[in-house]
Amino acid sequence: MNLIDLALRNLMRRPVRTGLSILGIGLAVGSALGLTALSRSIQESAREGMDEIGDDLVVMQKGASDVFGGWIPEQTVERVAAVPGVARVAGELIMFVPGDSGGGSMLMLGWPATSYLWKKVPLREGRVPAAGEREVAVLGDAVAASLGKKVGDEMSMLGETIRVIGIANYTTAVNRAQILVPLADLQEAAFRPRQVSMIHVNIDRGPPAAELAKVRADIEALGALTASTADEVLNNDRNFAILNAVSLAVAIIAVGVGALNVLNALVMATQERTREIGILAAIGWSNSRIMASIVIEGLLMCVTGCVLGVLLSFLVALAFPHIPAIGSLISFKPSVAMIAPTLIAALVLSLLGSLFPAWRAVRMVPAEALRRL
Amino acid sequence: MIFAIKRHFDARKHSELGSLIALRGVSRVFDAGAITALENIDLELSAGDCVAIVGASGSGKSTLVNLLCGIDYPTAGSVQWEGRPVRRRDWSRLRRHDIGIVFQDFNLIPTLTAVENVELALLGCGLSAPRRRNRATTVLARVGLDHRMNQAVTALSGGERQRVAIARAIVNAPHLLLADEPTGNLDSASAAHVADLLFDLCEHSSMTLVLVTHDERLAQRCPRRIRIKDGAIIEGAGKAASARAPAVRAMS
Repeated sequence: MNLIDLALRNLMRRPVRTGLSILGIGLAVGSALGLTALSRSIQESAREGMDEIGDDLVVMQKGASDVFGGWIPEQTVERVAAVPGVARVAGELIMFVPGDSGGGSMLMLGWPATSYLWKKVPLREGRVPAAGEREVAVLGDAVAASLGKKVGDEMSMLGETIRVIGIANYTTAVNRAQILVPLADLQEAAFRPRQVSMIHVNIDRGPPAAELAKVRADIEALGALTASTADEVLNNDRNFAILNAVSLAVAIIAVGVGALNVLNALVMATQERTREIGILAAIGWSNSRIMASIVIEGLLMCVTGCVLGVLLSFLVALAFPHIPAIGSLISFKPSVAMIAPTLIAALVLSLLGSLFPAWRAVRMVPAEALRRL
Repeated sequence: MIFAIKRHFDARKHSELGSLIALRGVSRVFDAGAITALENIDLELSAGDCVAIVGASGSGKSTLVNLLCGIDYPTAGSVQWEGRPVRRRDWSRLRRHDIGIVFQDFNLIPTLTAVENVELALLGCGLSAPRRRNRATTVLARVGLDHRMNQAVTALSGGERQRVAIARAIVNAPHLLLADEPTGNLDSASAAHVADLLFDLCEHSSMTLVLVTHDERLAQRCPRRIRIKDGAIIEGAGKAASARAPAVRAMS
């Protein structure tokens, strides 16, 4: 018999209430983890997609809130290419366009026919556009599957009919869901003549950090441009910042609700056991020991709820890739780094939720507690 | 077994002839002074005393016991342990090591077994789990419950439950054992058994026994009797006449 045994025994006295409290914590933690993981996975998927393209730097319009929000004149691409240390560049126009049948949006990228990026496309079948070829597209395999398109099929893009000439076999969720078209076609369809959204930059190999810093400074000296690494682009992206903030807020509310479950269960339990708490005081238990026994009950509920929540979030992670509407767009990968802050927050809040009923329990004079039924 | 317990009790440090616990000018009122349970009580108990406190219902007997063990606090006056005033924060330590309490309605934890109820009083006493279990088992055997120690207390008879409560009260070998109507909820046979057990424990140790009872015959077994009426001591104010030692001095 020790404090943990006693706490377990007390929890088992009201199995339904204890079970429901644990379930409440589990759902709260699972929801918080799911939301956090989801927002981070979206960002991570975008990062993986950019890594797969293999950029050293991404050049955007200075002050652009995200990759979709900046516009750069196409001739700037040549000016960036002329910066010492720059090995190769590729302009890109990127935007969401309405789906083929009107449902949902598709990520469409326009690349110049001469861009080195076409040479890096991992074709599963078909080919990339020839120089000067128009109204053709290479589809990521995920978007091809979801649209039911294969090489030789036609599809519409902003009112124009384009022909599928290749299927790409990218590995990241973002790139698997994108449509690649000649830059001129997208500029024309989107009323963005001679404009790109960003410029991909590879630099000559040298001392990495120093070389990168110098090239960045030289590019930004061209005016109204920001040269960033892929990580920096995503970290500064306002969409991701809002997504993360919303996820964090909802996660805090969810974990707070979980802690309220602990508080509620323990307030009820200690009220029911007021007389027993008086007995413990009468046989010499100190206030700190009585409080510890109640807090241990709360923490046992919380730990069990957290385990349940983590299991739920991993089940969701296993299920999401099999849901085409989700799995074709993002990869959902819970990690220890993602789980730890949520669990710590849940434990801290549950500890606080346990301390209040524990404090209430020992505040009463033992003789008064013993008079309670 | 008896000798093991007695050795344990006798090994305890206590001031054999000096004051063990004393109330100095103690009053206790309830409802912001509307009810006076005890008024200006002076009482001193010495080590080894065997005292009966008698009085009608509502006379203040239980309040007196509550103040003697610190599960309630006086509204005026002070309580002294071995000559030193007891502060509120000292009481839990005193109850853990020096004071045992037996209640009329047992006050056991219903979800635990007999031996677990006794072990509860040993948590926080610096003993390992095996030593706690060993000592609880020994004391339960002393009160004649070695065959029932793993039973849930809800499965025990009233007399057996009270013996578990006595075992819990004495498991730390206290200097002072307070028994508040310990036979009040028992049939006559169980009551006699429990009373014999309490006097036997008192006989075989240097423990001070304070017995609150309605039962005059039970009170007569104590060398010293204090009678309370309307919150005041009306009898037993003289020097104690303990068979073993000066027992009780009710001063005032």
